Amino acid sequence: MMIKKYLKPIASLKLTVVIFALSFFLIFAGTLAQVHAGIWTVVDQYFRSLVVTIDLQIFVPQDVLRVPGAFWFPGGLTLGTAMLINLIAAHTIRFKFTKKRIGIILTHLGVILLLVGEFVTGFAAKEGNMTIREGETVNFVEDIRASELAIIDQSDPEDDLIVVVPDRLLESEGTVLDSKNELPFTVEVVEWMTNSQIFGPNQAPDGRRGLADSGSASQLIAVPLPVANGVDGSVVDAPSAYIAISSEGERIGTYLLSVYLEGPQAVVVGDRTYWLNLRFARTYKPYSMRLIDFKHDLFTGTRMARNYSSQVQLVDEGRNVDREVLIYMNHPLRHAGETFYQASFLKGDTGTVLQVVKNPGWLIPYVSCVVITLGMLIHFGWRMAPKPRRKVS
Amino acid sequence: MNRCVSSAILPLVILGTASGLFGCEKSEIQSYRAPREFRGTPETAATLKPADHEHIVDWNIPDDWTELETTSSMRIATFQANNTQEIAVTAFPGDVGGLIANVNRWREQVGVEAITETQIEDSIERVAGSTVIIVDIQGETNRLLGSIINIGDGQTWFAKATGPDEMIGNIKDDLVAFSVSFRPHDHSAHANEDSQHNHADHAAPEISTDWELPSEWTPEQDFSNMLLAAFTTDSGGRVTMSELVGDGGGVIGNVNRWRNQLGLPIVATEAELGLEKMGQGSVIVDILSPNDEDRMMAAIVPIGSRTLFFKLTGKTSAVEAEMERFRTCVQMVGVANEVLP
Repeated sequence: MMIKKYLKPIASLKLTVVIFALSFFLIFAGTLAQVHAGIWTVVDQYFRSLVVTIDLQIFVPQDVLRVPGAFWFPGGLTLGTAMLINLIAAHTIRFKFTKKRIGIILTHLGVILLLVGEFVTGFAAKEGNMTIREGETVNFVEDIRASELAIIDQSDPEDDLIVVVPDRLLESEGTVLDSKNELPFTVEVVEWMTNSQIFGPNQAPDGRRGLADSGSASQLIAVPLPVANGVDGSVVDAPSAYIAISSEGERIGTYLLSVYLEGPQAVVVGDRTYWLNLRFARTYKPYSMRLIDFKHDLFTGTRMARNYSSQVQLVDEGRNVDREVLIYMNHPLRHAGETFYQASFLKGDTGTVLQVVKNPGWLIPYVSCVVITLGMLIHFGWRMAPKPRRKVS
Repeated sequence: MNRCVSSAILPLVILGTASGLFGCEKSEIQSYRAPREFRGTPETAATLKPADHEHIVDWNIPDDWTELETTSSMRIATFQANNTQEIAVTAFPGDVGGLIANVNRWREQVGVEAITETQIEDSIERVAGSTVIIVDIQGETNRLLGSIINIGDGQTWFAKATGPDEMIGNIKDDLVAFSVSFRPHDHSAHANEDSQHNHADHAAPEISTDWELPSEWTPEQDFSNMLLAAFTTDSGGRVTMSELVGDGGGVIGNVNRWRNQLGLPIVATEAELGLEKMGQGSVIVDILSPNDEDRMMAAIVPIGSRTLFFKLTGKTSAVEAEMERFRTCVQMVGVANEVLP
């Protein structure tokens, strides 16, 4: 009784309506925000946050009117949690098990599962790409939504020593690594571009000149672009940076690094060579995959794709696995709690791109949809079923 | 009041825990050891992706061009026309600043003032359904001829030549034809070929050569390896036969390219091309230059996943003398390959 007393205000149907109204507005604002911000930025800021700061500008096109100011609004995490609590509370205080209510109970149970599923996905899901050229072996997954500066020391005859600076630390100019670290030089960000375009000499707009004076990409020029928003065709941000290397107070050179560039650039400090590379953020795995063959089949006589498939050798010594696997459309590989989908391929069919997804809650949306469907079928079936006529005495 | 405060505690606890979990992101400098991924030397150069154009595009190299060794890391390929004029091919991701920026950059390179967005259409020539834009700028001392090519691979391709007016004028037709021939690489159809440039295989087994050679045509011995066959006619004309994978750029793209070679304007629709249909997708077209001096009769015959191209070119009188024999030849090849009735 006591619990019911406390739960009653948060089980209010009025509260449900308010949460729904706020959710509608949040979805509307989040959709508008994607005109200028990247889809994953919006997902994080609007739908997986407690509070979101909504700029008034998103409601008016910039070329029509400049609108300053912003307001705070509950984020998706707040509203989703509130909705879940409201729903559970309502069932707790009003729970009655009757035959007529089975459908309603199942439907709401499905909705609760759906909300829980999103929580699990938001907290625990990891997604990345494994790009493998034919004949190559890869043991890491790249996150195309994040990048990192890798500084590689190959002086050890066996392994590479790799120092990795995540993009979050590269976003502001200044020194990110000093010589107190494992490296005998300092690394300074001269300019960071979250999304960029690369131009040849004299190609850059507005007479912009490159800042690099060293390295094999010194003739190229990087120009910042607005972040990819998925609306105008751009989906993935391609970061670039001008990075200055100094040793003992002396500038060795400024380098242009970019995910557009293939291969790292050499920096010689003293008698050692180090390698600089701006790349998508990597997570190393306890297994490796070698691409034996990538196939891009066409319908006969056309250029229309019929199938993409990757024949890979999966080696996971810890799990005693060494086998050949064929991954193709709608036939992913499941291994070590991860799912490997045939996602894309390299230009010229020279390699494959596998999407690697680890989502412990991947099954929940499917189960919840089945439960909701079942609940609705029972509920409406019950109501619409012909009722037996009463006998008139 | 107390009840309301207590009711609010539960959601706050859940939210607090949730936001704490969200905050667990990898965001610090890390160092680790990993197996050697590459073996570099200080001379190893980072290059723009992709370095290997042969897996990206296919193009047709004009007969008078030779490919030179490309030493610049930014160039994709370098050609030399007539042993003198250099043509550079480059590619950069995205639109490289857009059309107006590229045109004005080239104008600046030859000392010509920049133009505005409203003047752009007067300064360029769109061919092949606007996928190729030709820019021809006469500067004070040099002339710049460039093409901006979009084959839908997320990059912008450029072919450019700068030099004396006359020399650039001599290669213009070839540079336009070269630019129009750019197309995404057909990897599946050429998996075993060494050279992805040469689409004509002299021994292509799919094409039946069971047809009779007119006595008025003399087979050429030294013709481009892009061609299946080439003949010189007694009237002074030239007949060539070539083969491309797929539709080879399509009817409208190819016929517009030929029209361009003869100085005719590019048209937007197939209906304006004056095609004569031969059945089963095959067409024949007759193109006359504006001054009536040059003529071309060409046929496009699809055979399975490939397309055969026949061309009869030369002075108008030379072409007219061979037109019937040319038609017969096309018909015979089509029948031999069971694609024409």
